[in-house]
Amino acid sequence: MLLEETLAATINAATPLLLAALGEVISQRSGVINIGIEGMMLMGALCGMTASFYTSGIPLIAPWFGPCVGMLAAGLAGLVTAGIFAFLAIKLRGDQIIIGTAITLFALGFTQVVYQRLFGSTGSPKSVPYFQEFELPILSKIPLIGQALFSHNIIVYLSMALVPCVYFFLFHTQPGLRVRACGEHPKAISTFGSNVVKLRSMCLLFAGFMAGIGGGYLSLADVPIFTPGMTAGRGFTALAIVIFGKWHPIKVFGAALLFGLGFALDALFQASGWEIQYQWFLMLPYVLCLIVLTASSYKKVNFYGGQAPLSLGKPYNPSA
Amino acid sequence: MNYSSVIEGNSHIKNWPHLKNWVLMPLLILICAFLTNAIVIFFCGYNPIRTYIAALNVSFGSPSGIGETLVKSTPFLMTGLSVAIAFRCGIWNIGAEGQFLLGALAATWFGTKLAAYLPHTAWIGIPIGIGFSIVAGGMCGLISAVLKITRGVNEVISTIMLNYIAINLVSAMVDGGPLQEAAKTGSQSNPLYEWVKLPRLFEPHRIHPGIILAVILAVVLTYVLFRTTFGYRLRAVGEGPEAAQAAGISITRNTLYVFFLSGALAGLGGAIELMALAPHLTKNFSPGYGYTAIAVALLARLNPLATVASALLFGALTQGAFGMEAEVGISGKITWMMQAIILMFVVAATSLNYFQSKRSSES
Repeated sequence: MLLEETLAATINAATPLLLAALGEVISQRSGVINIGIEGMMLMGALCGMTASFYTSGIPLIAPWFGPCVGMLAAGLAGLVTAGIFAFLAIKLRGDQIIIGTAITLFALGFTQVVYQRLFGSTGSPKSVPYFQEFELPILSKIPLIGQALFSHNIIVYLSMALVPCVYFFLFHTQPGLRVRACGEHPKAISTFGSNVVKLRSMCLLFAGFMAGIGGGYLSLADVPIFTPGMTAGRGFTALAIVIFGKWHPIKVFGAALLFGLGFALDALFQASGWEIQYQWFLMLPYVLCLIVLTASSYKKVNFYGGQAPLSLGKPYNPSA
Repeated sequence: MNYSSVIEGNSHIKNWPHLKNWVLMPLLILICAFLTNAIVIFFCGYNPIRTYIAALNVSFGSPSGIGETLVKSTPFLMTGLSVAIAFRCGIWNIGAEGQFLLGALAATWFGTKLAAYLPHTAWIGIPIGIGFSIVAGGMCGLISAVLKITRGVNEVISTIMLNYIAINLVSAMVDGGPLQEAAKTGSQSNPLYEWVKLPRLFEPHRIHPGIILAVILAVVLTYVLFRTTFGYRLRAVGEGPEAAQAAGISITRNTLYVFFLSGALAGLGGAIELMALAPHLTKNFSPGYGYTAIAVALLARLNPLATVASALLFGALTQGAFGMEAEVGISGKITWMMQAIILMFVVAATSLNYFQSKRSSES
C-alpha cells in the first residue's frame, strides 16, 4: 500500500526533525537563534552510534541497553556542543549566526576525524544495535492507518508525547513564561530578578540535548550506521520548521510532518523505479523549504520575519 | 548584531592601532586556535607536533608545494571576497558554496557544449565562459535577495537551502544528466574544450592567471569599498540600516546589488577553479569552499585586501591536510575543524575587544 508506506516513512523522517525543532523552539523563544543544530545533530549521531557500538559487545545485558546508552550519549554530545555555543554567544555575546556556522563546520570536521580514527576510512560502515520497531497492541490492528501510525520505535512515540509537554511548559507554567519574556524583552525579566544569562544558557543546552537526540535517531533508529555528513541539512531544515511553525510547539509538529514528507518522498520515489534521476528527489525537501518559507514569511517585522521573538538573535548585556 | 565591532575593532588605542588590529590580534587568534586544535588532535589519538610539521612541509617545504598552496588559495580568496562584501552590507550570505558551484556549472555548460559553435580561440572562449559563470552565480544570489526583499525570507536559511539545491543540481547534471561525459561511465562532465581552459604560467607547476585575477579583484574591491560612493552606501547600510535609509540610501537597491556582486564573485571563483585546474566538473567539485569562506572573510575582518592573506593561510591549511593525511593518517577533513576553531576565536576576540573598548570609553 503506497499510502501506508508514505505515512509511515513520513513519520519516521519527521521524528529527528521534530526532536531538533522542539529544542529550537525553546531556545529561540528565549532569544537565542541556534544555527548550529546541524553540527549538534552530527555530534549526536556519531556519539550515539559509537556508544551503542561499544556497549553492545558486553555480554549478559539486554539488547535494548546499547541503543538507550547511545541515545543518552547522543544527547550529551549535543549538550556539550551547545555549551561551547552558550559560552561564545551568551557569555561573550558574540554573533550567533557566525558561531552557529562555526559549530556546524567544527562538527563536520570533528566527526570525520574521530570516525576515521575509531572505525577506519575503508570498508563498509559499522552496523550497531538499534531501536527496533514494535507494534502497539490494539491500535496497530486498525485498518488502513494502524500499521502506518502505530508500528514504530519507541523514540517516535516519545517525541510525539513531548509536543504537548513543551506546549504546556511554554504557555502554562511560570518558567515557560519567563522563557518567553526573555526572548521578547530580556531587560524586563531581568528587572523582575531573573538571571537572563542563566535562563538563556539553560534553554540553549536543552536545544543542544534535543538536537543531539535527533542526530542519535538518525544513527540509532533510522539507519543503524554513521556516515560522515549524514544529517544532510536536517538541522537547517529544523530551523525552517521553527519559523514555519511560528515558534509554537503544536504548529511545529505539523511543520515537521510536512518536511518529513519531503524527505520521505525522496526515498519512496527512488524505490518506485521511475525513470527520473534520483537527484531531483534529493532536492525536493530543500525546494519545499524555500517555497514554504516564501509562503509563510511576511514583509519583515523584524530581522527573522513576522512573529519572531522580539529579541531573537540579539546578545543581552546584563550590565548595560 | 554587534558585528560592526568585527570591522572597527578598538579605535580608542591611538598608538599604532594598525599594528595591533591587523597583525597582533590575528596572530594571537591563530596561535590560540592552533594550540586548541593541537589539544583536540592529541585527544583524538594523534601526535599534534608531527601533524603540524607534516602540514608545514607539504605546504611550504618545496617550490611545488608553495605553488600548490597558491593554487589552493584562489577559491578561498574568491569566495572569501564574496562573503566579505555581503557581510559588510549586513547581508548574511552563507550561499557562496552554491553560487560557486552554479558558476562552475554554467562554465561547464558553455565550455563543453556552446563553445564548439564559437571561433576556437581562447580570446573569445575564456571571457564568455567567465561571463556565464558571473551571471549564474549572481542570479543564484538574486533569488535570495528577491525573497528577502519581497517576502522577508531570512537569507541565512534561503542561501543554505540554495546550497543544497545547487549541490544536487550539479550532481543531477553530471551524474546521468545532459552534461555527463560522452562515455557515460564516470559521474563527471566532458573535459572542457582547449580554448576555454586557462593557460599555466610556469609549467610543471599549476600556477594560473586566475590567481592574479583574484588578487587584482581584491585590490579593486578594496578601492570600491572604501573610496567610492557605492562602497560608502554599502557600508552605511551594513552598519546602520535605519540611519542609512533616513539619509536616503535605498536598502532594497543595495541588497540587490550586493547579493548579485557577492554571488558573481563566488561564481567567478567556480569558473576559475574549473577552467584552470579541473578539466571535468565532478559531483564533489567543491569541498565546502563556501563555508570556509566565512572564516576566511572574518579572519580578515571583512577587508578585501586582508582577505588575500587569510586566503593564503587557508590554502596552506588545505594543502597541508594532504601531508597530514599521508604522514600521520588523520582525516583530511581536520581542516574544517581547524577553520571552525579559528572562527570561534575570531568571535571570542572580537567580543573581548569590544568589551575592552567599552570599558575604557566608560572610564
